[in-house]
Amino acid sequence: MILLGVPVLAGALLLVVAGLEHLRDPVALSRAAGISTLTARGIALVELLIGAPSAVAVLVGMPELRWALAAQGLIYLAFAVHLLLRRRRGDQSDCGCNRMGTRVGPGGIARAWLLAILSFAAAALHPAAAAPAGVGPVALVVVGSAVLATLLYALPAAVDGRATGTT
Amino acid sequence: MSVLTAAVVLAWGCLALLALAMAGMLRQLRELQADVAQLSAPAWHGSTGRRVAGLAGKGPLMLLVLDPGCSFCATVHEPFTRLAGEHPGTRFEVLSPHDQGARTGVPGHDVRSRVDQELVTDLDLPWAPALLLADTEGTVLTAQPVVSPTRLPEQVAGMLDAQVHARGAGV
Repeated sequence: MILLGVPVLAGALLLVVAGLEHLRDPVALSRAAGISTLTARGIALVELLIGAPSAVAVLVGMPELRWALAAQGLIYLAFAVHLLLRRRRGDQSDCGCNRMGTRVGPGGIARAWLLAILSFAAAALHPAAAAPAGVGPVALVVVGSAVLATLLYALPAAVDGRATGTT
Repeated sequence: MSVLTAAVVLAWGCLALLALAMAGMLRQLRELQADVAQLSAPAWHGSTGRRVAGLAGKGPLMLLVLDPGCSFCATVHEPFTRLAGEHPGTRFEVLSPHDQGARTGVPGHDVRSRVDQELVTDLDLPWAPALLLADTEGTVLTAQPVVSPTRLPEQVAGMLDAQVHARGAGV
């Protein structure tokens, strides 16, 4: 199930990167999401604590880590709903997707929905969604997910553009 | 599914994402270009507020000023003519310093074309093509360069709206 493992691992990598960014600059997330800095730090920790085991779950295929994939689906689902509600309010400010200062828009929302659905699917099929054994398949999953994560990182900024206001 | 097939499918997925991102960036680039064009156009007040007898008439005047040397004057004429039907209370006229031959008009839209070197010189507009708005007495209210033929409808509507708001505010 390389096709499922690659985007799910990319989603896990994005969570880890987002966690590191939010941990380094919690003020940006607190401003974007309208929460306290302490809550922003908490969210950053949760992102790291879910993203890292989720990546291991895809790479190693440990059945004990199925919860991480389900939690990853939940966190992306919550983010998708959060962005959707903000967009319905006409909010054009920073979505908090990453430090690029991207506006709330269809790119960020579609990315979150897609990763939520794929993560839930991977949790349901785990460990079948893990990378198959062998150097070739593992290399494909790692390289493919790194490329996909880079594309998905920049996608909201490319599609939705820069934020124009504040919350 | 073999590793090779999976790699090909993933590559296509990445290409689709790249295309999506490129389309988004091109849209942002076009918005940016339009913003820059408006910013770079210097505010012009040369004839603003001055009464020009040749512009007086029944109803406000939206004047398109062309120049034989400008690069896209020819493409602006037809969309401008079409706009006359959308703003029935406003006179739409085209002014050029020299006769530029037959223009493609739009049937049903009566747009007066004038060739008047003296008037063009008198108005002394720094751009071509340019839009100029004057009131019934021929007083020049505002003038702007035409940003692009495709954005002409919103530019004309914006100038007319701004003037209505300015009148409402007593400016």
